[in-house]
Amino acid sequence: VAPLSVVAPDGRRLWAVAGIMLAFAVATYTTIAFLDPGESGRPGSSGAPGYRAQGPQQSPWKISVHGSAAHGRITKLQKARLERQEPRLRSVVRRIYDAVLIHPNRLRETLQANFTPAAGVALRRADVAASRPKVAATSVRRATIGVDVNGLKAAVASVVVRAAAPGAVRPVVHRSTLWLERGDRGWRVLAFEVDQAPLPERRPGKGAEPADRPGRRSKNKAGRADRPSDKGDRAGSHKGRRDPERKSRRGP
Amino acid sequence: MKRTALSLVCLLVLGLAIAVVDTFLRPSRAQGPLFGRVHETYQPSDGKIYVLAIGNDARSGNPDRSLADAIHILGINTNTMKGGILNFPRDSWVNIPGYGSAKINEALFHGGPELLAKTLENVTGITIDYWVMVGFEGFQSVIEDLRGVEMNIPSAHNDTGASGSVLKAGYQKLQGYEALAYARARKSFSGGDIARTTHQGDMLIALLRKLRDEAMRNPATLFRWIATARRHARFDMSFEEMFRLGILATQLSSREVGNVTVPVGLGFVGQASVAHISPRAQAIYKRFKKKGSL
Repeated sequence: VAPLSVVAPDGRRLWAVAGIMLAFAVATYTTIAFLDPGESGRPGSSGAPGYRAQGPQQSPWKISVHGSAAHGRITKLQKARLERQEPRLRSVVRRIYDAVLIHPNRLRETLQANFTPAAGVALRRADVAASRPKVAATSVRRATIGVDVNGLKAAVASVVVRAAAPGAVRPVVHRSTLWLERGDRGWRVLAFEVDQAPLPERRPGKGAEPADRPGRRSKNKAGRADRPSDKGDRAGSHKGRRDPERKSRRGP
Repeated sequence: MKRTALSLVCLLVLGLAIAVVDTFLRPSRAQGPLFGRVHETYQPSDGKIYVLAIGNDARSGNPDRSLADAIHILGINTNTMKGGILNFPRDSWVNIPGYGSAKINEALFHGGPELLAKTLENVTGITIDYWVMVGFEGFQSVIEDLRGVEMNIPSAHNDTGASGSVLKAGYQKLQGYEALAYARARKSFSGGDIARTTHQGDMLIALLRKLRDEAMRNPATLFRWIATARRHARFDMSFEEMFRLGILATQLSSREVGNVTVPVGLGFVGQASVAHISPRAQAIYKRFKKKGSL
């Protein structure tokens, strides 16, 4: 006879423990899924964990990460190491752009955490936020991150974001290159180059090319003048700027 | 027991054989460029960085005792993002610390890249931060790995007797052996060694333009360049330093880089033909030191 009636026999106790654990797991998963909008692109979605849904519509992030090797193919070991760094790099890029375009009040802390001091100061001076102090809506958020697989200590992110501040006539296309290095404090931006300009107006009858497509070169005159080219150079595009709202910055 | 011991011995022998073959057959890392720091401690530069680029006359590898055939100081001003290449003819008659007056290319023979850097620091008053040195074979391998370099050849020439450079005038892509031959060619040009030195500076600018073009299409290309250098090179600087210099190079427009050869007057010291650096060079040194660009 069991001395205490609340204690179940051994077999039943095991089932009870398993049931509680399962219920706990389901509850945890549901909570996380609810709180973390991830890359789903819901309104206010930052793509980074911990941000609650709020503000205007945000497009989902499309981030691709690839290893860069000089000769031959990437080895399995390099691939495995690269996979470990992938989420960290994605997270850094998302966090930076959330702070720049969606949550300007977080800019200072984000720069402190994700930029070297000199690069952080340069970005603040560059004044690239599209929406300050309002929250911008984004229609394109895309990044390609190349990582040096030989040491996994250096990476470069090419980012394209199309954002519109509330009430803005034309959205802004923001292209940037972030050079990152990995140290004791994780991945941090060491240097950057930003080119930001209002989206060109569509010309009736001529299917205007989306200006935010990376790697696609517009053949019209405006496209050429906008883009850096070094049979010439990048600085040339600054000299020839036609749009007073255009901003091009390098840092640090 | 006996079988296990035999297997172990076989494995050991196999391992040793692989190690020996790997050591002797694989090209040595020191065959390519060597990179190094001139000063142990950081020299405050006010945003200006100077790198000494040396081409030695060794046909293979980088032996301790070789002469400098190509001598260039590359400067970058990180504030203005402008740069310059100051070329020194190899026969320039200068004072080598500890060795007296001699041709500048002998400094490499007597004391390696550090002594050459020190000699140039005394001559120009510019503090040099890094040096990079490459021999014939290393230069050719690097250009081949980078799949050639496109540059404008100012005049058609046929230097078959000496460097082997046979090129028509105009914009063209040079493969490794062609680039090496052109960098060495002097007899077919009226300016001789001075023209050659200037052409070497042009080639450095062409490489910079190539890096920048490729980095604009895909910034991760820089890692391929660094890996190419690492594959052939021996470093006396950290990857971080290399990475930062590489980023700077991708940001520097080739149009913002001046290519200037030190003005010289040709003469003789004893039997030797030498180039006396003109007093006009002082103004160039001063400007280069002040601005970091030319």
